[in-house]
Amino acid sequence: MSTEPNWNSAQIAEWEAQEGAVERLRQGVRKGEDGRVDAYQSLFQAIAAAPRSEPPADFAELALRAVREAQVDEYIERWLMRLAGLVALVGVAVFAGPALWSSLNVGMATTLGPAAGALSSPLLWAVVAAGATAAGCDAGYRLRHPEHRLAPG
Amino acid sequence: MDDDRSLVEATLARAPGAFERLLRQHQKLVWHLVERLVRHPEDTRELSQEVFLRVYQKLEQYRFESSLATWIGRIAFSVATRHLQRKRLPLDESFAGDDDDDGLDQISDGFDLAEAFADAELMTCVARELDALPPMQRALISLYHLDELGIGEIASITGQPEGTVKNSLFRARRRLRERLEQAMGVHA
Repeated sequence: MSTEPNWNSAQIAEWEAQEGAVERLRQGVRKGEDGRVDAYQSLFQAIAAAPRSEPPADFAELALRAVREAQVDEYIERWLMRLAGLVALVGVAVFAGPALWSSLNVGMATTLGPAAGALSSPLLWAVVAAGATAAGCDAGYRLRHPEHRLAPG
Repeated sequence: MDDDRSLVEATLARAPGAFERLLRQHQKLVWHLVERLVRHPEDTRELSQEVFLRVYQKLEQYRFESSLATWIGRIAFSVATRHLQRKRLPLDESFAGDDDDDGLDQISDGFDLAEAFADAELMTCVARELDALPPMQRALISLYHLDELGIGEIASITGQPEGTVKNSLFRARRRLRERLEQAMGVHA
């Protein structure tokens, strides 16, 4: 990444005049013998002295506020996605739950025998389903915002 | 670099006031760079805020391979240049006659700009000619002469090879000197 420009001798001399002027300014030397360097020195002095736009006094405060607001938005969006997932889960449980539950019990009794009793608690499956939904919502959020670091909580 | 590390670690650990300190340390660099590229006060404010939002979101990805200022400058450059692209504004353009020697022949060797212009007049003229430069060259002049960054740091911020940065800087400065001398010719 440090390829030198392909300059001819006149361009090299011009670059050296420019950099000579920069050096003189840094050392506080006022005038030299080389008119070309003097011209650049005057130019660079004028550039340094020209009016320059500065950040407003309240910029840092406003930028901090914008960052905080973005964090809050992320937080709200994350919880809204979780909520939407849970609503969907409840909907499935209400409308298709009884049929799913009986078929699951029949399947477990067939494959697991006596051990099926330990896994037949509706509460256990509700907790597992809620956890999976929340994890799925977070994964969805990360997919939508790969650049975001999630706030704790 | 040690200061950068402690500040970044404190920010990532959400230490009170750490990100504010980071923001205050680097706000001038970000503002100057964005403003030199976009030249619009309201856009400068919004884009500079966006830069710090991205800095906050991406700070975990900073690997201390360059100074924090260079890393933040790179984000500022990226945000501002994408804005220019969205508005279909050219970032750079070649100057007529730049690739031959004629440009140099037009500039006299013993011409003193300071003698030719009164100070205020020279500053006004320089400000006008700086505005007339393409955004990239304006930004290079600003980073090199006002923020006093080295060619290597500027190359890192803009993602260009050092040779390209030197060449653009060379052309921009030569162009400014040429234009000022022409203005003096008109002025006399």
